[in-house]
Amino acid sequence: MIFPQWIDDRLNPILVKEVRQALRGRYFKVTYGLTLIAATLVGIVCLLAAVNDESVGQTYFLGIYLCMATAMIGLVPFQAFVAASGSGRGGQSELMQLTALRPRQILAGGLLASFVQSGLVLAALAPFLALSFLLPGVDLSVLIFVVLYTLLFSACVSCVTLSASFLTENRLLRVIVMVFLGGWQFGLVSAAVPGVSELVENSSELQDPEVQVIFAIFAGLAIFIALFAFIGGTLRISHPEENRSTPLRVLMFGFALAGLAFTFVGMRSPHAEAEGFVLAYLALGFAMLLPSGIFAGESERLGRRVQVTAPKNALVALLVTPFMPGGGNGALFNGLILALFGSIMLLFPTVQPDADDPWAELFIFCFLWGVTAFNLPTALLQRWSNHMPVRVLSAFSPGLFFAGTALVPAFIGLMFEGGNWGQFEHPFCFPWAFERLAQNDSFQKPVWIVAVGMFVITLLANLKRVLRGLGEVQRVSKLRRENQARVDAFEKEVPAA
Amino acid sequence: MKILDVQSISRSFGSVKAVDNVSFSVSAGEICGFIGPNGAGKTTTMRICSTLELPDSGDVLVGGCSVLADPRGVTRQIGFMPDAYASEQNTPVRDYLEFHARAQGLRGPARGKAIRSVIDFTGLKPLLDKEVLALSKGMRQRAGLAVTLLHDPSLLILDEPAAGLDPRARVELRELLSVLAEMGKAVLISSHILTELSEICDVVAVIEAGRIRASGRVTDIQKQLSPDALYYMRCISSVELLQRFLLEQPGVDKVRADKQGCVFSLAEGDQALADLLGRAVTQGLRPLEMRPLTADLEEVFLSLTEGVVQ
Ligand SMILES: Nc1ncnc2c1ncn2[C@@H]1O[C@H](COP(=O)(O)OP(=O)(O)OP(=O)(O)O)[C@@H](O)[C@H]1O
Ligand SMILES: [Mg+2]
Repeated sequence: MIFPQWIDDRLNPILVKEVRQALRGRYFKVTYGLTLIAATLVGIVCLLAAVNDESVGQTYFLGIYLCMATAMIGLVPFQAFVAASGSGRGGQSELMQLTALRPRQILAGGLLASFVQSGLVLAALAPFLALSFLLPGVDLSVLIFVVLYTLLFSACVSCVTLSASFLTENRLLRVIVMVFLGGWQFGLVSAAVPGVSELVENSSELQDPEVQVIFAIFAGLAIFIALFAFIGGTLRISHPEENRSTPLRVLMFGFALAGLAFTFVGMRSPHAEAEGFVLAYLALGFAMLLPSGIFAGESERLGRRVQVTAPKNALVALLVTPFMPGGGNGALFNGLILALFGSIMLLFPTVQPDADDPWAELFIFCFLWGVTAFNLPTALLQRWSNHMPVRVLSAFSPGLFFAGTALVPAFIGLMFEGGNWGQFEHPFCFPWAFERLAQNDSFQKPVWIVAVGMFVITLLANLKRVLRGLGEVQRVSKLRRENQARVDAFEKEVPAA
Repeated sequence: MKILDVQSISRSFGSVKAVDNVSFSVSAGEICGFIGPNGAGKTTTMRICSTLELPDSGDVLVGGCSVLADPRGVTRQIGFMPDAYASEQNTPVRDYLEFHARAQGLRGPARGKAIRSVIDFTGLKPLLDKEVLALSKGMRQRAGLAVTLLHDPSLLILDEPAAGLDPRARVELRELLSVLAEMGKAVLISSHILTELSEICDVVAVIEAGRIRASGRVTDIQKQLSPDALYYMRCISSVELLQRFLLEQPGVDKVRADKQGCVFSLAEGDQALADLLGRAVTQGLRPLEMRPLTADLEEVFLSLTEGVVQ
């Protein structure tokens, strides 16, 4: 035994298994060998090409970094995806439900195994990195920063690929997900190398507060996405009928608050451009809602294993209803986030830079469209929300809604000579309508009619399920209170021995 | 003591009622055969008992814990062996067992002890260094059984464990199960191959199209089905003669002839049988053989089920 007993006992079983399997399997050996060979070859080529430059270290480092990023952001997370396959009926993760392991331990185990592999790759590349430091041109602080940052991104990407591997059991869909992930990872690596190149060449940039903020934002986003993927993956492999989106909702809510705080701190800083920040604010608001299609698209009823978790206090139950699973509660959650953004925006005069500018109107307009896009399609689909494909469709429905409202009238316009509708110039097209309002021109009336009309329809379409959701949580809460009262009465009658 | 108590559970998939108001129970030390044709709902029922599926209505108690309210309490007490075992790449049996022992939360010396004891019990010792994927079907079944036994569950749920095993492996599996039952574990075992269950099962539950057709001891079920006892008789004289004789006897209901003898049912007890034999001798039939036909699971099964496929 390599470890003392007490550590060995506390090791994550999945970690132990995955690392053993990876070390025994072909994939990791090949990855490892290829990375080393590639680093050697690329290193030699870079050295030969730039041997006379005084920045030879930079070229060499970039060459090595390319290999490192490919392995740590590309290959290792991909291995995580492949290793965690087969989550379906009779599959591994389902059987894991029968053990003492919690879903979060299962995911954490896979993640840690990825991390160990990244570490092994890094260890193998350490001599090369050391050499690049010894050559002239590379700053040690930049080097360490880049390595740590890559390690962080590697972990985040692994988180996403690992969770993505639990998305579907269908072979074809898995291949599609795999291609998608592969493309994404390729994009990340391709984006990382020029970024690092820039940083290595101007190492003083790292001292610039603005650059630091940008790196912090990227890291924050990566961590958020990783967390989202992690929690999503955990929920995916917990019991399908438990249907718990509560942790995800809490995470989203927390991130919304953090984003708001960040925007306000930024807006109060002296050299902030108010206009840019308002746009950033709107973008943040919409970004917050992107995963919300998942919540509003959930099947409506609380599962039997969820019911027992409802708060007993009626008021608390009312307050947490938006955070309970279910489509109606999801619509409520979306409304909550939108209302949060909306009220803060309208309450704080700093956000409205100029009374002449139509910011407030634009904001209300976005709010109306946001409510519609994120809740109308899911409300229309709610009847079929027990079926997985419909839930997936719901998750993407906000994006489809924006595309559909722009495309369909344009198509009709083309067919029936509807003026400029064929050129996407119609009030159902969100970008066009937004521009009309922003430019304060004469097309405002139809734009508002459409926005308000859709908003009202959305409210009506959601009213029933939101009320049902609220009622259900209250009912379950009451049931739990009654049960508690019975238990209390029983205990009073029969004092514990 | 009831370890498994299935209380009128139902489960539908779309319009298919996979399990329809099913109730039965299994006590400690009992082996219960769960028999039904393909698609009868055996796997679904077993998955509900192991918390992997939820019933639409009804509940299942395992050692007093409900699969609805306390799934963790249930999983601690059961060992579930699914019909198709998950494959693990690049994993020798030794690591496979160790992984599952860790996953069951076994720590320190207890883990080593549990692993050793299941290896001894299932005879996996010579295979420890073999890859799980390279094991033969029978051996993989053993490895699966070993895994389900690691945390010493009080209820074993085995879904078609004998499917695809050769006769020797089947006999060995039967012996292992008998030992487990003697140790006081309750065993629920499903199959549609009945002969392999008939010798070891104390009780059976016959399911078809999601409904329990009969449950209880095999002999009791047989009695319920046909209150008349069945006998087989053979004599030196021709079969036709024997058949005609039997048809004339009081209390004899159905008579079916084969090449050498006849199967017939007799309503009354031993007295009537002795009389019948006496008459046969006096009428010069010269009987060679006369034996009661014992309740056979195969017959129970065929007479209970109608071959309805959903
Ligand atoms: N996840 C599911 N989705 C849809 N239908 C299902 C699902 N699981 C089971 N069924 C249906 O429920 C019925 C019972 O299936 P089940 O697997 O329980 O039968 P079984 O008795 O185990 O059959 P076999 O002997 O073939 O294993 C079948 O009609 C099957 O098609
Ligand atoms: Mg089955």
